[in-house]
Amino acid sequence: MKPALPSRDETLQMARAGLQMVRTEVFPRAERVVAVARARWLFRGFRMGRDVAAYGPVAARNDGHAELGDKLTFLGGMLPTSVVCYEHARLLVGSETQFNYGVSVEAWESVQIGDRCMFASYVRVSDRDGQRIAPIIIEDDVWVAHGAILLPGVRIGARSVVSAGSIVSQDVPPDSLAMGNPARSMSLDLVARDATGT
Amino acid sequence: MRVPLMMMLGLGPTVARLKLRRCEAVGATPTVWGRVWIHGEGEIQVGDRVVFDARMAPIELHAQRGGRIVIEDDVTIEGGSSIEAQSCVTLGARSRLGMWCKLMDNMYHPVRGNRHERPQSVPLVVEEGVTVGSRSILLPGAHLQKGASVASGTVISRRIPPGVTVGGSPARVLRREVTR
Amino acid sequence: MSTRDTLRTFIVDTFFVDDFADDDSFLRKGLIDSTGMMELVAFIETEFHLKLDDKELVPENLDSLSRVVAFVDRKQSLAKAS
Repeated sequence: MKPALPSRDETLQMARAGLQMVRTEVFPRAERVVAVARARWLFRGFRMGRDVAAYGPVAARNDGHAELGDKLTFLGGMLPTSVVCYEHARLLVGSETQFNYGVSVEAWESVQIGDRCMFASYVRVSDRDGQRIAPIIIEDDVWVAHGAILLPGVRIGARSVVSAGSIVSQDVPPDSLAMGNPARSMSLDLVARDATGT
Repeated sequence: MRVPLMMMLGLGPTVARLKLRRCEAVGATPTVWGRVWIHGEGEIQVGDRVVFDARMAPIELHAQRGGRIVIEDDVTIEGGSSIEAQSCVTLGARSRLGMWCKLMDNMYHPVRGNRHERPQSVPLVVEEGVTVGSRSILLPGAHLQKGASVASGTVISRRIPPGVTVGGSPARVLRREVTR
Repeated sequence: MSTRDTLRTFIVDTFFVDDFADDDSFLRKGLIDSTGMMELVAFIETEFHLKLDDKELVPENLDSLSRVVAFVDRKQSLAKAS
C-alpha cells in the first residue's frame, strides 16, 4: 500500500506554516545580525559594548570620548539618527537604551545617558544651544517621548517621563512627568496608578 | 516650484498609485510628491484627490496589525508627518496636516510599570475641514471636531469642539468661532 | 463666582465630563489625563494669579475637585498674608 500523500490543502497549509516561520523566526534574526554588523561599522570610532544593533542609518561621529554600553538599539525609519561627540567632549550611553529614528544626540562637553532609557523619534539632546554649554545628565529608565527637546544643563531623574513635544529647560526630579513648553514637572502619582500606567 | 517630470508627462496619478500600492483602497487622482513610507500589516484607505506632499521629508503611514488609517477625500498631508495606528486613525474630508505632524493612537509604553507592555489604544479622529499646524502632536484620544484648527507645535489628547482654535503647550483655546 | 464653581465650570467646559462628585479622584475616574492636568495647572495659575511650584503638583493637592479648591484657598490666603 502506498503511503497516503498529503492532500493539496495539507500541502498548502504546511507551506504557509513554513513561510510564517521564516517570517517570524528567520527574518528577525537575520535582520538582527545585519543590524549588529552595521552598528560595528557605523560606530567604529566609538568604545562600544556588546550587541549594539543599528536597524537603520545612523550618522555617528566621535572626535572626543564616546562610550556606548551593551545592547543598544537604534531603530531605522524616515530620517537617520545622529550621535555626535565633538572634540574633548564626553558622551556616555548606558546599556539597553533604545533610540527610535531621527534622534539627535550632540555632545560638546558632556552628555550622560543612563541604562534602559527610551528615546522616541525626533528627540533632540544637545548640551549646547548657541549661548551656553552645560552638561546634560539623563538617569536610568527615562522615557523621552516624540519630539521632545532637552536643553543644556538639565538633569532628568530616574524613571521620569518627558512627554511628547515638550521643551525641557529645568531639571526634572525622579519619578515625575515633564510636559509643556517650557516643561514643568509633576509627580507621576498624579497621572498614573502604581505599576499599571494610565 | 519644482515640478516632477512624471507630472509633466501626465503620469502623476499613475506614479502616485504605484507609490500607494500598499494601501487597501486609493480614490480618484491621488497626488504623491516624494516618498511615502507605508508599512505595517494594517489597512489604509485613501480617498479621492488626496495630496501627499513629501518633497521636503518623507511621510510615514504605519498601520499595525488590526489597525486602520482612513484618509478621506481632499486631504492634504505635508512632508515629515507620521501617522501610526493600532486601532483607528481617521482624517476627515478637506483636512490638512502640516509638516512634521505626529498622529498616534497608542502611547506604546505605559508611563509607569513595565515599559514593554502596550497600553490600550484610543481611536483618534480628525473631522472635516480641520487644519493641523506643523509640528503638532495628536496623542491617543484626540478628537478634533469639524472646522477646528490647531496652531503649530501643539500637543493634544482630548476633544476639541467645532470651530475652535487651540495652540500652545499645554494647549489653550486661542479663539472660538462666533456661534450663529 | 466661588472658587469651586470657577474650577468646576472650567473642568466641565474643557474636559467634557459632566457628572463627577467633588471628591472623585481625577485619575481613578479617568476624568483628566496628564495633558489635561497641565491645562488645569495653567488655568489655576492664570485665573487665581498664583504661582505653583513643581513640588506642589502632587495628588494630595490636585487629585479631586475638593482637594484643588482647598489647595487654591490655602495658596490664596498665604499670598494675602505675605
